[in-house]
Amino acid sequence: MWTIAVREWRAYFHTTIGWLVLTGFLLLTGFFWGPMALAVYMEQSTDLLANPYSESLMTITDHLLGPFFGNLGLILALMAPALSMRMIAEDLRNRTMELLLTSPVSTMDIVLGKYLGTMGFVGVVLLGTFYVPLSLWHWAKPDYAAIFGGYLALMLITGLVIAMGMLYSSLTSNVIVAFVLTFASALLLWLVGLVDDRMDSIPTHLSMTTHLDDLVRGAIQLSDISYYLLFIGFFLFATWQRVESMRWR
Amino acid sequence: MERLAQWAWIFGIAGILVLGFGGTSYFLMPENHQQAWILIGAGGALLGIYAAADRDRLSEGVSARSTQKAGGALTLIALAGVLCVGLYILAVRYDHTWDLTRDQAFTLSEQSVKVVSTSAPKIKIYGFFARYSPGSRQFQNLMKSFKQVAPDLSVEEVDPLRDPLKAQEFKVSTEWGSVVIVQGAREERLEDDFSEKAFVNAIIRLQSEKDHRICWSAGHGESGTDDDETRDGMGQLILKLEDQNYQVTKSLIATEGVDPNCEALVIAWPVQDFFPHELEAIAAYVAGGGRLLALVEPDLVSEVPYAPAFTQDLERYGIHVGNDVVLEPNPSFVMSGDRPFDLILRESSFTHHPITQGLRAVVSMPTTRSVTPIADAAGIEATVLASSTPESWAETVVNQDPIPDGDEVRGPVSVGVAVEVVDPAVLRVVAHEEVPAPTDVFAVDQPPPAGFGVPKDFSPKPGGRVVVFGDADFASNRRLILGNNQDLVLNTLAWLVDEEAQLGERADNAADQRITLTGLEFGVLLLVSLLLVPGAAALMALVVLLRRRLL
Repeated sequence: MWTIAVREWRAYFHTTIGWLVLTGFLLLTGFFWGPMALAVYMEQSTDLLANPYSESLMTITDHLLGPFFGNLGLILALMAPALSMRMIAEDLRNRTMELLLTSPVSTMDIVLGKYLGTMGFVGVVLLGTFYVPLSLWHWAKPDYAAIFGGYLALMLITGLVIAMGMLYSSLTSNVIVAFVLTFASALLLWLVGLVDDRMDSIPTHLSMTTHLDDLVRGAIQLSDISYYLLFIGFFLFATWQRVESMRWR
Repeated sequence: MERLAQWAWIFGIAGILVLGFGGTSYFLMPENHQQAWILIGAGGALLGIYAAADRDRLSEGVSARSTQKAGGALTLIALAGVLCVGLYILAVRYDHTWDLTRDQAFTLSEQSVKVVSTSAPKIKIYGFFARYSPGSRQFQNLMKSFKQVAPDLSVEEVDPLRDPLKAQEFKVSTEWGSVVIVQGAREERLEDDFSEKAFVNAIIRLQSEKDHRICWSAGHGESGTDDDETRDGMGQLILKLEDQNYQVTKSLIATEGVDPNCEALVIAWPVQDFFPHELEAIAAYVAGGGRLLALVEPDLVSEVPYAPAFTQDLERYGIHVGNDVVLEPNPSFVMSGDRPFDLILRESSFTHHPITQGLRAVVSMPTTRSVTPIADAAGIEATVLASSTPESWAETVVNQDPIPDGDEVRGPVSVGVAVEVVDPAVLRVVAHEEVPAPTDVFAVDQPPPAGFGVPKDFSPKPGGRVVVFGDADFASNRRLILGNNQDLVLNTLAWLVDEEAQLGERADNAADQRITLTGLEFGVLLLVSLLLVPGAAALMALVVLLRRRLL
């Protein structure tokens, strides 16, 4: 499994698409951090300082890190399909899947290896954004929990979308189809909460954003973690079954 | 029949589509489930027609080995899906929050947990929020926290635009958010503030059958109850009390005595002294089971002593108020190293008592005099509430370089005492004395006799309580918001009026955190975030591209 994971991980750095995804993501992160989140926060907190009647105070967690990680989550959720689209579909198209299936590795090793390899790349992508907490630590006193929760949320969101994309990638040899299906599903899971935002409605429970709010503010809820891990587990299990079916077809 | 079988797939596809539409509309239009069920039924019927028309090919397909294996895999996936949904439902039902934040922002305050868990079976909370209204998410998050400590709490979220009849029933006219907390026939409303504190205060108000009546002594230069702006006023405290279930009224003891209906009498920072009949009126009130909170200030540096007869008279309640100021050399227990009189009380400063339970932050007392229980006072149970450190002392002479002298009280110096009167006879209240109504009771040279202050129908009974703090301005407008200051004074009043549910540390607003960057610093940040970091990745993309082209 680890051999496959490392091979998958290294493959991203040997392709232009991997670096382009990284560039695009870091550029958007930079845009959402500097000119957007930080500039707006500084301006609003200064305005508040001049307003003697203002009762509510601005906090870095609620008004800077929360929205920033929220935006980053959306970007990642919509970019992850570009990473997941080729995970199995490319092997199917290049007919290298047969080689993998006949090699002395279990189906589970193939699925988990590819998944962990891609998640490893996501880890590197997120490492590239570490100048954000570093700059914040330099100029302010942020709550470490919010930063930890924010990065955990980003990993979980991406993990979910990649697990889902991997299933779609195993269903088709066309990477574009896999991309479109994953992108649409990720967007649906992101926006479904808008259908009915009451606390106990099904769309609220299905929505990724509902399970993001507290995490990015430093509170880990059992229900939020369960949502992501169960979704990831389910998609990986379904992918495993799908790849397993290739053996007896 | 063969012809029908040939075109049966159309029914199959139509069935799946209609079924899909039905399922989607079930979730998207919760107000019209009937239409969804019709579509689901129609989809099922179309699939049934397909199965009946093409049964030969279907049974052939089903009996194939690959179909059977695929069926098995699909069944496993479906079972895994059901298992995941079940586990998620369990996680929601038994949800738990690990609050990693520095300020425990997601943890309900001790008081909130107590209030919500004790009142949950009796109340129902209705949140009226239109879709996407700003307070909705705050309401939902708070209700989630409430349900974690009180799973039986009944909460209903209503969209007033979708359910106007329900909104009308509760007289909700705004779509921007309104919360109604109901208990029997009583209700409390929240319109703008949906914070934890606002909810808990509303529940407290609802739980109390009546408002607690607090009488605030006036006429001796006490801190102003109407003054919520200047630093020494106590109007902010009054606002907080009124936000809970207290009703504060001024009390002119000299002319009106102490109303026996007062659940507590507060004498905060008296400057001018009390007449003997006022002291007897207070003693008669406490001896009759009344409750007294006295906040006294040190007067070492003032030109005239602050209400000396009153502070002296506190000895009848077993409390000695020293004519001194507590000095603290331990830098961890003062606001600033060069201000040894500006005390800070920490968790270790407090003794175990309902008033001090749950005080985990600091209490700031700017200048404090010693308040100690008189040893072996009969008929009285006294408890020291808070003390300074062993290194401190009670200084009786103000000079440039104070040191503890031989006769001065050494630390730990008690700065707050709570007393329960077991035997009211020990208060030695004088007998009622009838005198003709004086023309001017404030005339110092002709005060009425002490017995004038004692009610005619005075009957002593045990249960009176007295709390004295050697500092008053910890409860002033300027200091009230610091640390646990408001908790200490609100806990004291809650204990005095027997409102046990209100004791504990209260929820408060988050601290302010502003960021200020110079133009150069912001420029560097932009350079790093928009050029250097993404530029490095772009460069690597170019390198990989060129290498692949060259190879």
